[in-house]
Amino acid sequence: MAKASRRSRVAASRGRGGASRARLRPLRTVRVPEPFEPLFRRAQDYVERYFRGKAFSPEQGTISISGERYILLRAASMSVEFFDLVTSLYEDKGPHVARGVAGNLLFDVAHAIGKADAQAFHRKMGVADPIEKLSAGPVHFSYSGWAFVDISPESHPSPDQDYFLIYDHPYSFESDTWLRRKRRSPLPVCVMNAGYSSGWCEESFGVPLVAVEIECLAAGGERCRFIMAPPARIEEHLARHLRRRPRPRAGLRSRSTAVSVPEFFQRKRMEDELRRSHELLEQRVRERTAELTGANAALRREVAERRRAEEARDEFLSVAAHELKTPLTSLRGFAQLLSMQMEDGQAPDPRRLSTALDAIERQSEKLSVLVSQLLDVSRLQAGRLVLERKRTDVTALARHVLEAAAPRTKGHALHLHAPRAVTGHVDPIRLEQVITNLVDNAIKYSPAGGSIGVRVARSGATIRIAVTDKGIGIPPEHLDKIFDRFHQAHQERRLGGMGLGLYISREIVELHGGTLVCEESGEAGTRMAVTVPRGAP
Amino acid sequence: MTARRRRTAPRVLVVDDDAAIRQFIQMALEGSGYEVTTAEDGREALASVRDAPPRVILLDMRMPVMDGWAFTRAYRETPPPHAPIVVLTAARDAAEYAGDVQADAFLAKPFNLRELLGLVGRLATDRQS
Repeated sequence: MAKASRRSRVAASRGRGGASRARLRPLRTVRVPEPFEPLFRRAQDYVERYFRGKAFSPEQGTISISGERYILLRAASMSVEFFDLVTSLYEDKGPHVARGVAGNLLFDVAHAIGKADAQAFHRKMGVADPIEKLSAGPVHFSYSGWAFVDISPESHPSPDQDYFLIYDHPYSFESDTWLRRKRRSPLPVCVMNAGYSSGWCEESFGVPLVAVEIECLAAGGERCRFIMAPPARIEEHLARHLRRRPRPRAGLRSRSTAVSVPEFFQRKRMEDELRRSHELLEQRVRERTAELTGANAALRREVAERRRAEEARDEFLSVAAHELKTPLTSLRGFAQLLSMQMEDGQAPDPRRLSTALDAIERQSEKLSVLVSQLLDVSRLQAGRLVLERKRTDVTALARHVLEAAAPRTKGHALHLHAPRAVTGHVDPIRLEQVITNLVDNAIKYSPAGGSIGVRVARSGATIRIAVTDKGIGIPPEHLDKIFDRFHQAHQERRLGGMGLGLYISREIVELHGGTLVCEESGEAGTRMAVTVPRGAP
Repeated sequence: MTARRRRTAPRVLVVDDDAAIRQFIQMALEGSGYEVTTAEDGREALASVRDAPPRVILLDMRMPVMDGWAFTRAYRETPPPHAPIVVLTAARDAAEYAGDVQADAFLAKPFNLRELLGLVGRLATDRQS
């Protein structure tokens, strides 16, 4: 239905008004598609009667309509002046933000009023049908001075997702306030009208609705035109209707095609989103904090480990220095003793001379062993102790160790139990060092003497060397520590050494791919056993 | 309280767990006219001071059974007179150890034998506590 023809028909019906025999007066306060007219006439009749009961009582400061209290507002204060005020308040954020704030506020307030008014009238009129519920809305809208409503026959007001309304607001109070000041807005201004109508219709049809002004007199349009639909469908209707709008003619100021879809209580959604993003942020902060705490703890552990390593190194140096200085003290002492006697012109007592020279030799030997051990430890720790494997008769090696050890003890009987030859692919110098260490320990820890046995045996792909003594044994609480650096099971007996021997021996055996364990230890003595692979031929 | 009560050579107690060190110190001191008693650790030393009170004590600090710190505490609790103590130690903190036990002097190992004899000589004649 073209607008011009609608107008003429309305004019005609108005013309017929007085002569109509219909009980209800012709429709004057709203324009609707023809099939809806009877319903709207009833609504018009109702609202007309309702507004007849106006009472202005300025002496009481009240306005009431049929007993319902109303307030009057200056239209400009709710539109052009309100936009100006918000724009000045949001000067720093720019006119776009100001428009958004003002528009959202006005839309929310008007939508809420529309919903509330609809509820009140539905109660008063006692109506249940959605169209009936809708009917009083536009009429009340006219009576209360918001705008005239002209609903297009293209509309399809159904209580579901297909709901669609397209309508004009001639005489919109909002665009009017801009036009009266000869002001032009870049965007449509009738946000309260859109809010109120959609609020009323939402209440009437029981579906969420939103109205968008697609053309506005204050924004250079030819009319104030709105479409209303459920929020999920509005964009689709908008796209269709904006496409249909005529292009601006050359020479005329371009008509704004910008519209904004209002959202009832967008603020609420924004607040919810803000809260969600806050929660997300807090969650992230918590996660990052946890990660940082973890990283911190790891760092602290690392620092503590390094500190422990440093302390161990310091302790190592301190013990090493102490141990080296002890034989050095005797060495220097005996040497000075002899030289003092010579300086004094005394004839050296041959017995003392021999004692001193013996001591010097023993201490030098001790010193040399200590230095070798320190070098070995240093090489082992740097991973630079490299085996030089060659075909070796381990029986011969063990025999050699025992022969070399014999002069160092008088109280022990040293025995070798071994096949004539047990050959393997090992580092003979390092393996000899291991057997020597085990035999020396056997001597050292059996101060009362007794027999010391070295047993060499071949078993499949391995060679086993066991050293047994009848000594004082290893206290059980020390068994798991005897292979640690600097550990000495018998501190109280002061048997000398740095506690490096077994540590080095085990490392050498493990470099061979073998094991060194204490198989037995008690009051009856100790048995230490080395097992190494025979190695490649 | 008087020295040379028994009109014998002054006695020096050598406390060290290392036999070679005890041996050369003993030989040097005996060569210089001192009477020498030796002990392997603090406990032996404590027994020795009761039986034969020394004029000077040469004390190693790190020893098994009873170390230099424990010995000094126990020794100071015995009735006077107390002989001056010279700490002999191979540890890095010789001065600190000596301070710990309020020693009269200290020598860091390896020390100069002449220095030791000079020190013992001074303490044996000067200090008669």
